[in-house]
Amino acid sequence: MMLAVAPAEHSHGDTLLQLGVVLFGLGLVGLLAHRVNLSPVPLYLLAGLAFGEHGLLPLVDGESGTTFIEVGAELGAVLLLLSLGLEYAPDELLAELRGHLGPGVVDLLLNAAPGVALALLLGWSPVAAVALGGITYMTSSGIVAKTLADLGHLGNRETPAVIAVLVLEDLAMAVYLPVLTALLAGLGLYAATASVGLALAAVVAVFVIAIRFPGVLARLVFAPDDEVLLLRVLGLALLIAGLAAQANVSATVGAFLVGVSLSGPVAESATQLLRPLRDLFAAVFFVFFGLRIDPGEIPGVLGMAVGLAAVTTITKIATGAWAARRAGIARAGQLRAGVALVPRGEFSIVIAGLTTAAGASGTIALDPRFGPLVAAYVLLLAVLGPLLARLLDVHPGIRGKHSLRPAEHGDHPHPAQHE
Amino acid sequence: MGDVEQTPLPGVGVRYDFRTEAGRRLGLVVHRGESVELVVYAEDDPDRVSESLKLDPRDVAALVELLATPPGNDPDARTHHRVWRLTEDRR
Repeated sequence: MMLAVAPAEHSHGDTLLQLGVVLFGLGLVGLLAHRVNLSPVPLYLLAGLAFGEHGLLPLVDGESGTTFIEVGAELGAVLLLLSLGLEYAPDELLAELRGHLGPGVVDLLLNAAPGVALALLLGWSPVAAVALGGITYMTSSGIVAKTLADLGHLGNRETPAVIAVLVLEDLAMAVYLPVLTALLAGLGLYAATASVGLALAAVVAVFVIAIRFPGVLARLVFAPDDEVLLLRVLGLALLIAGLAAQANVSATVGAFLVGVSLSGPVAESATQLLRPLRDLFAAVFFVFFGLRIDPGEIPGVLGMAVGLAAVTTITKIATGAWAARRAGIARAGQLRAGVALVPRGEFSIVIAGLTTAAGASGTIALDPRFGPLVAAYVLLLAVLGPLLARLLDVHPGIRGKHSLRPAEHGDHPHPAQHE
Repeated sequence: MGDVEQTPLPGVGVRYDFRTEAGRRLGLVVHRGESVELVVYAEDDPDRVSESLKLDPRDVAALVELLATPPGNDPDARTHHRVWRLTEDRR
């Protein structure tokens, strides 16, 4: 069922038609996600798999539709990281770094190791191992934040430990992504070191400027008018992301740093203004990753994906439990903290997207199983992670011995009302 | 009552909580933006929120007025009310 009109007469109409079909399809899928109160990320991925050339409903043909979707996907990755950066103030990040370095290091070691090990076992290149390690390491802060809010767990006393792990991961990403980008670009040792050095210098500069001269950058983009503010913040983020990309430094990290450097009221207004844009383009981003994967390849890697998901579920639970224990949280809370950290999502796809793009353009040799493996892995944990947290929340047996009070099951009767 | 603990929640807001005289934990999660969540911790697991109530600025104003003594006559409470009204109007 190809919707594309005859390839001879590509017109603007084709692009609009394909984009319209994709977005409308996502709207339908998104409603489903809302109904069952799931993160839409896994469903967008599934939609991408279905709409792709080899999918069940190949709505997007290789030529006309994908260029716009490709640009949209790039924007989506930039917007995801810009919004993430806007959530944090630099001094907040530094305080977390100082206070929770231990759990951060344990998190990295425990959760990157399974990905790296699997890639090396399969005989994949070191670059693919670095990428897969990042994919198993990064918890999805979007899914975790939504699950915590839905379950009413934001006030729980183990939650700061969970958030600290997420923050440290985001900081680690500011170092990891430039390294990965340099490796994926196939740069020589000298050029790679130079671009990673440049990225690190940029990270340090942003923190120094933002902490020494608070409000300088905010004043630069401040505008009393919403429209002007939106254009300035987005323009600045794209400008920095573009410059970063040209210097072979990760574009998304550039956007993240722009977000971090803005704080206070400007950041709050910008977050609200950018939210609809981010949701739109992030959806396109997830679809685009799915589009390039042949779903027929997934059954062949499913066993591996399940194994990797199982191992990295256990390592994440151990990480969260240890972080919570260190914060003086009792047994039940330790388990909740561990389970909360299980979901993988947007960041794993950002890493995988960069890697498959480099593989597709031929700058690195990439095993064809890489994309399908990551898609299956993220699908599993983006769905099972929140589900596990919910099960833990309703299951009276796990909760503790005194949970027979009838009121307990009605704790949060309307989880859907939190967005 | 115990000391009020203040815990930053990066990306979310700030949590305040304390032990009541009667021995239960009570807290507030102040989200960035405007909403406030009133949380009561479980008896059997003082780390877990057993009841959480999302409070709108108007709810907060009403609660502040009710808790302030004598209700309605405390100038502070009225100021709060006015401030919340202002933030309300800006939306």
